[in-house]
Amino acid sequence: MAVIQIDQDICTGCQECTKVCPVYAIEGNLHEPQTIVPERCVMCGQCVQKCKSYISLFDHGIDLYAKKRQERNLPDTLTEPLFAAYNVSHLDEVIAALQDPSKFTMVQAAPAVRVGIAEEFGLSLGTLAAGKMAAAFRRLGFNKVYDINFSADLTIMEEGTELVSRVTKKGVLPMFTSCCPAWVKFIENSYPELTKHLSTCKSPQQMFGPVLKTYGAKINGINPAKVFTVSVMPCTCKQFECSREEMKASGHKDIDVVITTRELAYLIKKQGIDFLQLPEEEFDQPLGEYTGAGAIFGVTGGVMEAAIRTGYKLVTGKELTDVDIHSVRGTDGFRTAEIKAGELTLKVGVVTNLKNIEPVIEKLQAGTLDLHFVEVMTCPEGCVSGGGQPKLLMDADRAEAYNQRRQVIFDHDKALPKRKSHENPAIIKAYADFLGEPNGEKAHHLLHTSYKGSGGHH
Amino acid sequence: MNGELSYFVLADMEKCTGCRACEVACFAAHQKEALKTVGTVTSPIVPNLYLTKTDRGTMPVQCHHCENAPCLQSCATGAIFRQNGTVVVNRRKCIGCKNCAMACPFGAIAMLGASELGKAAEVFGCAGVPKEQGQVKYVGKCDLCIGRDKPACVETCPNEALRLVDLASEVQDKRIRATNAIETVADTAKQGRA
Repeated sequence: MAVIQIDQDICTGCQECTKVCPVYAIEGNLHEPQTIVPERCVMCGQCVQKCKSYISLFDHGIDLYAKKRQERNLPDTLTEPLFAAYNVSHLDEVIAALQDPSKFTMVQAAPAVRVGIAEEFGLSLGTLAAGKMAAAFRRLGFNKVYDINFSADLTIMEEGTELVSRVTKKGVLPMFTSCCPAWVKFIENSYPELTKHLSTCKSPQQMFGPVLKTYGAKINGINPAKVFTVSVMPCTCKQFECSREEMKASGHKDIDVVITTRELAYLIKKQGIDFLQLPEEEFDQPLGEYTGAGAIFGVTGGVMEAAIRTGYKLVTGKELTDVDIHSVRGTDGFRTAEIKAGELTLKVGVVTNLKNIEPVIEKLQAGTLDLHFVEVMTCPEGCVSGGGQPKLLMDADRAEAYNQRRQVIFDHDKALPKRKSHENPAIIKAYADFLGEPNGEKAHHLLHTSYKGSGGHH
Repeated sequence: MNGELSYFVLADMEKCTGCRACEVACFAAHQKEALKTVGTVTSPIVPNLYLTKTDRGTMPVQCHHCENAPCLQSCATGAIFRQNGTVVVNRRKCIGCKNCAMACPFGAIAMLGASELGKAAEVFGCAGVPKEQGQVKYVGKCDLCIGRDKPACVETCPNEALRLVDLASEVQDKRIRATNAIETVADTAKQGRA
């Protein structure tokens, strides 16, 4: 499926995108339009973020702008510039579902969306807008306003349990995170023999889909066939992830459609909602409840830190007292740390920006990657810098934007009453009432997956 | 400003890739409100420098802030004037006579007429095209980003293809290099004789 495109009518062939592409998936001659090699592209959208080759009033004329806006299925209320590199929008499907009375719409946004969306309405870079975002979802007409942060907590329950099991039962180590669909696509494409190192956990989005269409449908008393699930993500690859053949654990397409942070802003503007005047509202319960551990999934090292907060409890039976794990924070491309958990010294690594993965893979192949658990995120500083996040007009603002979004996520974590996934009362209840045990039979069926190279799909 | 010659921005075709980041930055730097993200833009991007492609490559073309500026001399209404050496346009005084664009030897002045702006207003909705861009005409040229530390285009170029030229100091540097080279030749010659 086409996810990332380069418009041949607009591309100047500057090749700035080829410099940011982590997988050398863009080809062409200098000063001629570039093309994407679909087999290599991991759909991270960093080219979309970088491209400044806009439709020019002088060079192309306004008619081309109007034509492209229509061709790309974008609302005719859109006034922002259009560029050569773009992600294929599925916003029209969301609009159709919202207008369809036979559908029961559930929406959920990723941790990084709430520190990006307000930028599209002129607020300063990295403004936290969780409450306004929830209010906007209600004004847009979604039946339930849930939250992927809940599912991030759920992911930690499953992934933490899996890690402890692999470490204590001598399973395949190191275990790599599987939250980032571009990273999963990359390893499946390039190193299928190494996919046994990936956690079998689905990403938070793909765990949430089946939970919404089973447990979520049940608690709302709705026929699962009527539930329409919409994710709002900082990520251009999530649309690909939700369209993977195996992502139907609920018996239906688990996540129906994904839009980006930018597309959510298009929708809010199209509906004439004054975002800045919205009140702060809560997410719907119980699937909108989250801890600080879920919130930090949006930054590089966040999944690792959240996993340690719960993994410590799983290994030692005791609660970690200082939950700020500075040794895994930061933005270096590859960083490692040792975490003491009782008798065990857990060796962990964090990779951010897929451009930094090759030396890590080489060590893994050579058998010298002496780590238990490695987090990998494709984008430069994790999901806050995702391909679907607000795009900066000037690259000079990039460092500030990433830094602000990151800081605000850590502040958000710190301000939340609970900061460990296993303390989330809605998670505890979901296991007690529906899911059973972490890594148990039902959890395995709904929340885990398999990969190319690692044997058949579930 | 050295008080003698105006500064100007010059592009290096060898380094320019044609990415248009300079144009986008120029546009953003000239908005009334500080725009950071693409989603906050509500009008067409109209920059004050113009990426130009030839068989040899690409580079943006912009105003040289000529000492004896033909645009300024040709302006029928006094809309073009000099401010601390920089040649700038007062858009409110401009009647759109096009003399300046014709007079400029670099093509560094761009104009848009009623037809294109009218269509743009339709496509962008009435609120989309700011009134002061004039529903009738638009004239744009580089103003060296008065009020900014560094012109936005120079700051943003990912390939350092743009620079602010201070002619007097560049010429002085060249003279120093030339002098050093001549001294070296003289020294070598002396050593050869010794």
